[in-house]
Amino acid sequence: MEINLYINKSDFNYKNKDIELITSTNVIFNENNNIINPIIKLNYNSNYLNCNYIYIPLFNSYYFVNDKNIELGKTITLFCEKDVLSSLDFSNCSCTIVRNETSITNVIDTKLPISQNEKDLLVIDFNPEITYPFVDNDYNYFLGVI
Amino acid sequence: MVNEQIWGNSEQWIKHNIFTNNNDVFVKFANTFRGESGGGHSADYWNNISGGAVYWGIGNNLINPDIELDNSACFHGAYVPENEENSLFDYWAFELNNNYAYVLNDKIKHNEINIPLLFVSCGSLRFFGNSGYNFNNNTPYSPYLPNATAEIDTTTIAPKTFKNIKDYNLTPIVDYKLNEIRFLILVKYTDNLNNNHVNNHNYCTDLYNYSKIYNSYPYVTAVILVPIVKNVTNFQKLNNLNLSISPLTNLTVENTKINYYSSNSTGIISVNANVSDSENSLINNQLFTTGILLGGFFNYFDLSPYQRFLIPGGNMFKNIHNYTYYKFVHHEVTDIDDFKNWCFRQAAFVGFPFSDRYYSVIDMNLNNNIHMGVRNVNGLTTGEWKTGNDIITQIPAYNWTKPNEESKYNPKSFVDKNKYISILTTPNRKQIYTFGRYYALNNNQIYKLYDFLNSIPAKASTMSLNDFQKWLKDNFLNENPIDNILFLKYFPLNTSQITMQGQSEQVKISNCLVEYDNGGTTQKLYGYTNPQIDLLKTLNLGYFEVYKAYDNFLDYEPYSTCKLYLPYTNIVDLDLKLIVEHKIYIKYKIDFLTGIFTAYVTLDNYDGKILTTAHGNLSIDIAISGIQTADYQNAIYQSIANLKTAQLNNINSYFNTGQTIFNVGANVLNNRGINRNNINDIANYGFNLEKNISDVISSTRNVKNAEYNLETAQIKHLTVGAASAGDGALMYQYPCLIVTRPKFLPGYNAEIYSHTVGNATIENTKVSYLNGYTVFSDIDLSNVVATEKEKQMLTDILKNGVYL
Repeated sequence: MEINLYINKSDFNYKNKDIELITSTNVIFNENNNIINPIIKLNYNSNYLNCNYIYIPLFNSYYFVNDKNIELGKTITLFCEKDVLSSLDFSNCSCTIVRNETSITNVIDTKLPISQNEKDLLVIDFNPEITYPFVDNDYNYFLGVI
Repeated sequence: MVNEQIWGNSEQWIKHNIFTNNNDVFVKFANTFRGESGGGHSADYWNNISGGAVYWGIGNNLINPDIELDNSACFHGAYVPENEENSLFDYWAFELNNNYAYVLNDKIKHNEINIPLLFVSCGSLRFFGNSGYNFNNNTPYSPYLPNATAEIDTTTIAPKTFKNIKDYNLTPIVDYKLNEIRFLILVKYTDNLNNNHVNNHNYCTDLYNYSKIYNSYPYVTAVILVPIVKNVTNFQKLNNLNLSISPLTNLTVENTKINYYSSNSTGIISVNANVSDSENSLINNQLFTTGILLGGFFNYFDLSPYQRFLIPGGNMFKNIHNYTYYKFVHHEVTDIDDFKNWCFRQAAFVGFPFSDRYYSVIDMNLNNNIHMGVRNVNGLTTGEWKTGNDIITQIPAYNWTKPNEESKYNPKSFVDKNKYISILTTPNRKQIYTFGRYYALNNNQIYKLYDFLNSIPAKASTMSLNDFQKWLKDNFLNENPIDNILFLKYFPLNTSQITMQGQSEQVKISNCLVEYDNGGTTQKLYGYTNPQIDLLKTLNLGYFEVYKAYDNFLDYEPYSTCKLYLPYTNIVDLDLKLIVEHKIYIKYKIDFLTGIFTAYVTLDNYDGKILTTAHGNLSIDIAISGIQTADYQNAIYQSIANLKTAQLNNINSYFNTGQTIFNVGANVLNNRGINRNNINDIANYGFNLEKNISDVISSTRNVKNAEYNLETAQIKHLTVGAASAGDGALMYQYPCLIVTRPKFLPGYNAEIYSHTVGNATIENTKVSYLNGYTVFSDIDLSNVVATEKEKQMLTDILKNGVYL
């Protein structure tokens, strides 16, 4: 079975990961392997040492390499865990989200680091009419007579 | 009926597709304009492209090309993020760095706008991909099928427009997205040397760095909803299209070389076709003489001497000498309302809902800020539009397909039955009381009036009682002169405007023309008066413009608060939810008879919806008027009258005393001796004499009392007088809109916060519409092919936040 070995530069929670292909190689699965946490033994190759991410075309799945056992010059054993985020297609799923990087809403965000002790006191500029009445002037008196 | 189709799931779409960063408005296009894999690239390629570019507008009546527009259209821009590696979009990235529109958008200062002269820069629909991907002339109704370009009419020279949507078997439109059209108006740019640069390219391109003087860049916006379609085969997602204001190319062309779209022999418009200098010359000489190029967009290339002119299509085409170029027309606007209507008409031609208020569309209520183009029975737009609930009465937009059958969203399932009115008007009452004459007087005239009143006692002393009383009767309706004065008030404004300027006439109190002694000569006292005076007068004070400071919940209570100080009255609270992104107007309706006023705080204009009212008193009753002063004047009058009476009684007393003595002597003489009667008479004499002397003393005392009263009344004059509302005159004379806003803790970075924590939201959507850091609360993974454990793993990670 062929697998692709990658260097993954992205954090685990990136769906579209920044990965760099190291090589493709054939492996034989052990009998006790499972699809979520496969253990893959490779013939030793120093190029594999940096591998932290693999793709198994047969399963159409990506895997994190969580750990490695290395027998120098002999084998490298990869302890993998399925990257469900990148492997599963859930793009058409309906969902409810509570945070989003690009959303602008008026939903109250309690995590925002707002000062509890300070506030800005601001006065918004006024646009007076040209004939603004309350200015210094003459004829301030108003006399009413019979 | 139309709105079930038109509005669709817009609200949902908008909520998760509109976002802003600083002053830019971003709209995520879920493949609105893209449905094919163009340029030899695979669908995956397009799928991975982060960003895109969209230009589109409304000038070409793409729905109904039979109707000529104004040779101009709205211009709209978008760009690909700068870090896009795809060389095809490099120039868009470049545009990002030189995006004049961005500059304008960022730096417009609304309160500096004035409108001496307006030019309009417009454009039309434009979608850039590559040479094989020219959606020139497309509308938002563009086909989204992979072979979409085949449906563009390429058999004729432009305009190449779809006849209408019915002619194409399009995927049904199921939803609409918010898009925004901004009509830009360039007035002029004044540099720091106070030179005006109208339509000067160089100065405008350097606007951002050259100077911080931004004279006049008013703009009118129209917001429309762009349809999205469903069941598109190559439905690819575009991320983070930045719909900034389009470049307001302010251009002189004389030294500009233009690389333009030319038509080849087949009539198909090609991109990047270089033209010869002679061709450029032709274009320059023909059309580009001065001013703004409507619909044009200039783009610069680092290594090219050419400036690339990206030209929108549509019916602005003109074909001369086998070359296609575009007709650009100045649209000169001198009246902002006319221009706004023009903008509306352009938007109406598109046929989508639009608004001149950005957030009105987001709210998705059919209020009076929402308009939509009217269509005829064939579904073609007319340029007319309807507003608010009238939209519902429009002809159904189309019989195109079955656009919304699958949509479960039905905004008409709930109908608000309340009947609303748009405006609470202020009363238009006329004067309540007009009995009398009214004068506007200045300081000096007041002193003269004072002198006149105080001359009256002196006048009495120079006249006989009868003459004085006759003078009073002849001159005053009430014999007491002070009773003829209704009031004398001080106002903190020019009271001559109350009398509507009027005429300067001699002040007349009752029938007495007021004169005063001016160093020995008699002078007439003049004041402004008007027989048609309206004592209820409305004075417009001005307005505030209130904008968002954070563009999120922090703009509202309880995080931000707003108080309005109104001169001569109280501080009132205003609800920020009502006033943000609005203008707040203030006017005072004043009763000048009493000085009492009502302050109206209205929305958007002086006759707009009333937000709040406040009451106060503008006037100060000065000493000469009011009951105390009237009493004082009355005391003077009474004292004078009493003095005269007392003096008269005194004389009579003396006369009576002499008479008594005379009578006693006569009796003695008559009786020739003292008898009992004479004793009685003498006794009577003594009694009468004592009485008469007492009367004399009494009358003398009365005179003294009267004099004392007069004196004391005059002394009182120094102490009487009351002021009201005087404190207001000592306060700040302009309204103040005082807002308190929360402060972020030091170190807060909005961009990092959004990227690592995410902005709070509550959105029900589909995953494909999302991008960036996202935290899920719930997700339906029913159709995902995975084990339960995998689904649980996925759910867990989604709830903890992922980058999509």
